[in-house]
Amino acid sequence: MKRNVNESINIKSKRSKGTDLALILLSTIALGACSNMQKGEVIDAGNVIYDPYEDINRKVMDFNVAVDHAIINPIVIGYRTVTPKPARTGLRNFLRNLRTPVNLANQILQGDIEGTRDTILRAIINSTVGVGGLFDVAGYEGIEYEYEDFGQTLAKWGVGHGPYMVVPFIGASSFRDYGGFFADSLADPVRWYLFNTNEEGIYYSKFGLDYLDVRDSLYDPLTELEKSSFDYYAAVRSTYYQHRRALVHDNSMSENRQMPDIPVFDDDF
Amino acid sequence: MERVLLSNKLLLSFGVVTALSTPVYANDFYNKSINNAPPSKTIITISLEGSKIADNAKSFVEKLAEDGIGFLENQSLNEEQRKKEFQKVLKHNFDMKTIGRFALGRYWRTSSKQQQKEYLDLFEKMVVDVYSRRFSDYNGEDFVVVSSRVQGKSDAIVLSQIVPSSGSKINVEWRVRKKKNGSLKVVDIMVEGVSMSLTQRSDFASVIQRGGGKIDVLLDHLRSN
Repeated sequence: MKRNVNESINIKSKRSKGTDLALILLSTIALGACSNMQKGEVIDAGNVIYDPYEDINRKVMDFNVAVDHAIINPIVIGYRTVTPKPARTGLRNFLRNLRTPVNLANQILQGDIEGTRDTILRAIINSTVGVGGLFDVAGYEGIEYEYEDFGQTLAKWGVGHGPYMVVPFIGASSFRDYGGFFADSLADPVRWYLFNTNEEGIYYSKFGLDYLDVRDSLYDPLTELEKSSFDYYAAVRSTYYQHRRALVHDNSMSENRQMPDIPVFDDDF
Repeated sequence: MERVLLSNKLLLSFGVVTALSTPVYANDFYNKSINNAPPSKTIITISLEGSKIADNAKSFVEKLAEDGIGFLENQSLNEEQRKKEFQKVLKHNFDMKTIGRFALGRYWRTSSKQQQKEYLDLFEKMVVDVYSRRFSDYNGEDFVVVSSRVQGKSDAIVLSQIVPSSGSKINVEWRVRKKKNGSLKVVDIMVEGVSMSLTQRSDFASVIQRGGGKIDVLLDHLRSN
């Protein structure tokens, strides 16, 4: 619980006036969630992980792993064999560029002025000089891509993860982040546009490509983690919480971020 | 008294200048990953003593990377020799006792001296095996040490980036600790903000918890690895 308090203090100094009301509303929800944080709580060196549905989650994960091995991993490997690396990077850049409205909206909601500026600059540069977003010219110039979603925005507003959950076909998530995922897809103007112009087909193709791209980027770390861990479930869960925390702090390099507390041991053995 | 104060001031400004002159890439202005914290803050938190640790840690990681890439690129080594070479680098540059003990968490204290010793041996063997498997993944990517800063009392965090020929850079942070005898050792590696030591600890903790709180369950896993 101490961590949560620290984080909200951090947030306090950053948030703007406009988010005050939302924060009050949401903190009541967050507090409600905290009060029953007893059963299924795991303390993971500073990260309070609330996993009351661990039994179900483990079953879903078994299912996901089976699907990955049987279907998804072969598709990713096939994709890598058929498509050269620069083409895959091009697709990733293109999809990232299409995500601009969602990233931008979340940065504005988070009051992230610098991030907002960078996202706008990136979209302008990459859509023009970068040939419709295929080339990340802005990234090459040092304006790097920042992935934002509504889960991160909620975190900035002081909302905790809630219960950890493993979603079929998607994997590690939490009540907050999975809710955020839906909010993002519903708010996405690209989706509105395609649905309003009866181009649902294009939307679902884009959705498929997004999924392929994400699975491609996850293939190496997940394969490695699966091989090197004894309890893959616990390893993924810990990685998920750490990774999300790094994202909420906008980049993993933030100096104010919490580091694991590795004590200086007395060498008495 | 006046003179003493003046020399203190001089010393301080010297420290500030040193901190400022730490090499930074020109386009870092826009690079949020480094630019996130205001530079003025960095100068305040870095003491004279501290900036020395950060600088030393930086050259330490540079040297370590040189050695590492050196044996990865050495074509004359076979798999087994490469593993041996890696073991040497690991022993010399990593604080395996601290990493291992941290990874075992609160179960360290509840295990016997003998269990602790066996655990540390097995742990080191596991780390060598896990990372040796990854050698073949090396594809001549560029490795750049970007910056370093002080962390806590005796640690420094060195930020480096792996730059592939195509695609995004990967941020890798090295947590380097100054030991009592003055030597520098790595105690953690963080990839995109995910700590290897912490992930290891969660994995081990879960194995032991699900095995009824006995460290033997973990040792069995490690033995059969």
